[in-house]
Amino acid sequence: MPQAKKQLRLLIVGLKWPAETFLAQLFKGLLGRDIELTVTSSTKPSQEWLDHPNFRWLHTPSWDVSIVSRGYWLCWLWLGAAMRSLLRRAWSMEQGGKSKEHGAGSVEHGGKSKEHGAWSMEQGGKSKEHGAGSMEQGGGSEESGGGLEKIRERIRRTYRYLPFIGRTWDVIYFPWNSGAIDYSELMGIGIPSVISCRGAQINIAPHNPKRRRIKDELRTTFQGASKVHCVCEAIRTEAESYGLDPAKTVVITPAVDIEFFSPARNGEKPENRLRIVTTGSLIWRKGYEYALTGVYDTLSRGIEIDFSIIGDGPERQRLLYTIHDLKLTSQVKLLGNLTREAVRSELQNSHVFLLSSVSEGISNAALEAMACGLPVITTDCGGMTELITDGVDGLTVPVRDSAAIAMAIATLSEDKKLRDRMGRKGREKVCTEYSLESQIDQFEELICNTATRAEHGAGSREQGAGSRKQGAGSRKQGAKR
Amino acid sequence: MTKELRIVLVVPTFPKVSETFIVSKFRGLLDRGMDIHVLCNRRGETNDGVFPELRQIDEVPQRIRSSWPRRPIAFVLLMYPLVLFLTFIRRPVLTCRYLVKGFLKFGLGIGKRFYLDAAFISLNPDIIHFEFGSLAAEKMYLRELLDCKVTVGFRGYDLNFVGIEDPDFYRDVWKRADGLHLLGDDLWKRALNRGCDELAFHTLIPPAIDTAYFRSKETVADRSCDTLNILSVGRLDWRKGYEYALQSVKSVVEDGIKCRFTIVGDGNYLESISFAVHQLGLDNIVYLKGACSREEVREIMQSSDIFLHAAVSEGFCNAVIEAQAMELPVVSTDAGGLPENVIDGTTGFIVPRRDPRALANSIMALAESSELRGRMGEAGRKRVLQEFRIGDQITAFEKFYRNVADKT
Repeated sequence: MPQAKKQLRLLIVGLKWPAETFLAQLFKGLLGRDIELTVTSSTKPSQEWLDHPNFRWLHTPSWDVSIVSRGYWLCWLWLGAAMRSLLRRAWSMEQGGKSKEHGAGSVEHGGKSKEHGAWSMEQGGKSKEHGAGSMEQGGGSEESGGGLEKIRERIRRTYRYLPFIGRTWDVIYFPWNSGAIDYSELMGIGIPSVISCRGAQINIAPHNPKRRRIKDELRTTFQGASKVHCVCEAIRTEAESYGLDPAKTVVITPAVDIEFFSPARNGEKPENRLRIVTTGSLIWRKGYEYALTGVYDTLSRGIEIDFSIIGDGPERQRLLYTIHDLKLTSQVKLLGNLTREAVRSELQNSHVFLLSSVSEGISNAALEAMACGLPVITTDCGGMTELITDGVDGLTVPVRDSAAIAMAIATLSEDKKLRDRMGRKGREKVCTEYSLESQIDQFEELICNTATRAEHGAGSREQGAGSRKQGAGSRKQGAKR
Repeated sequence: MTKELRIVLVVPTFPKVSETFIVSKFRGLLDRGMDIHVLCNRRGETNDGVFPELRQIDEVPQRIRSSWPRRPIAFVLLMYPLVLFLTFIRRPVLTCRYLVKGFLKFGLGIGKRFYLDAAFISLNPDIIHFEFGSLAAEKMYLRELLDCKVTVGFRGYDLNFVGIEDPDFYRDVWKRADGLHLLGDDLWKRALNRGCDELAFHTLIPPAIDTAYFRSKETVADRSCDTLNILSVGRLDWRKGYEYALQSVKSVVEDGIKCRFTIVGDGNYLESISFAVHQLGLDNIVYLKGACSREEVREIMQSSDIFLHAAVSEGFCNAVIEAQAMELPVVSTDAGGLPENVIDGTTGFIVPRRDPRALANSIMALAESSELRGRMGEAGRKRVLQEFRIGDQITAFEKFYRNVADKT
């Protein structure tokens, strides 16, 4: 029987709202493709988002905010909500199970649902360990110290999953590895999932001796996921060393809004001194100290330049100190966080974009600069060498090498023609390979594939059926009691 | 003379491994019979046996006070009447004075301040000494409200970059402090740069260490030398410039010298540093030891050949003094007070900061000659015995506080 194409329901987990610009533009694109998005976050999205017919917001209050600071009465509210959710969960399981087994038929459950509801409440704790939900599957691996600590962790976990109970989606999307790790049990409930690997969480975190566990957590989540998205080949290689199955991997590069970020209209920039710009949070990964030393070296060669740093972050004090220490106060400006429009006009008024990172996936900031027609000086870390071809649309320098940065600045400062040519090439490359449209196409395809594969794929189906049966079994067991 | 001066040292956390100098100052002044107290916001590592010297004297626990907890707010509201009551019972006159004067100065805002300052009031000090300038910036009004002297210590980061954007950040301190303590000449210059009056009463007292405790059993030259053991000790923080240290070690390794680099300390930049270790391919050469006790540090220094300190911002650095006392030659940057600490070419090498190549060259020079290492180590020990003895430091502090108290 031909049916109207069913709307895909996508759940997005592990976000702090407002989301980063590159995620927001992706979400907007997906909403435009008629995919129903459910976003979970502890903060409320703006009205503009909520007004969209395909947008849902699932409130996942953070543990600290709601329980510890706001007071214990919220616990009671939550208990109430939990009971309601459990009731609904029993209802939807009944409904879901039936509709999958007998097609459309989803009637008769009026009286029963109450019974099941009662069961769910009684069995609440147990069903999580081995029942249909299998929510706590990964929870067992969480070996935390004392008994009390364990109980607390368990309560915390249960609390974390409460908002999800009683609802269903076609695909779960984790935009960050950390989200997948925090909510790893969501991958065990039969809904296909996609994880994004973007950068630091793959490149850096596993090397931190205090976060050794993340290696295993990455492995587990990679195994649980149906598809894994990497932003560049470098990240893919890195992720494969943590057990990522190459067959599951899809590389989709980030994208930039080429309509919004475009070269200055009139094209004329003030030419008296070279203006260098960079965008990014003030964090150690961005290697700003190397950039500042590079600027210092350039100035001591007698080349006049200005350097603007857009962004804010925990390293502000470090940068201020370095700027004062190198006596760069009149050349270097910390502009703080700017609006998108202000970033654009700053880019349009500059001559060169400098990225001094020690680790990157693919820098969205560099994409924006290229879209504005700026030549890019970048370190050769992560996916940056995939984005920038040395000598064509920018210059690449080794990481942690301020002398090389100074050299590259000198090269570009002398040659306006070279800058213009590189800027033009960069814009061309971004327009053909990094456009928003194609990125959203690829994402849509990825999500649709994941959803349909899960439906038709024999293996996963059996698995699903198995768990369903198991669920049914334990339900009967409950009913007997 | 009637009663002994009552001095309150104000620190954020006490006791703390990375701020051992405050513990030894406290102990030293206490041994000299001064009525000295410590006021902190948080209690540090008291029960791990990290500071045995604090447990030797019975009255120590009464002399360490933490201020009333500030969070959660509900708790503060609950405690407020109790704090008011207790403070009033202990110091009725001073409490009234504080509240009346405070009300005239701040209006109702004094209510909040009272809770934060209650510990000061019940201590009724003659001198309040803020161990870090940044603590004092907002608190100089205590001088009038409690009718006591206020002195301020500057130890590095407070002058190097705290509030560097705001030219008036320390205006209150320069105007009202009864005395300033700085670790060295570099910090005094920075203070002048940031608006301090040249005539302000100040004293330069470098840090000091227990020279009997930090004493090498053998000279560096005698140590086994198939691998060169390089050591850095200090909090894992951007100020310590570990990334440059790692780069310099990398070039030393590339130049064919077999070495091992140990980093002792813990901190927020562990991730950054361990990533750098991995990125530079030094996984088998660098050992991140984490935080270590004083004994362990001495033990590790004992078995090292070179002490490397790549800081980009520094006050004076106790670890460098300790290393010199242990007869280790020091390769250090020229940040802050380090050139006053290490004598370039005699007890070690001073190189420009943020320059891994220069660090590497100095390490190479030391690596090639065990005779040079031995000579510099000995010179370092001699210098520490002359300049950085704990006894002299305590005497200087005693004198400083007496001078401040006698000031009218």
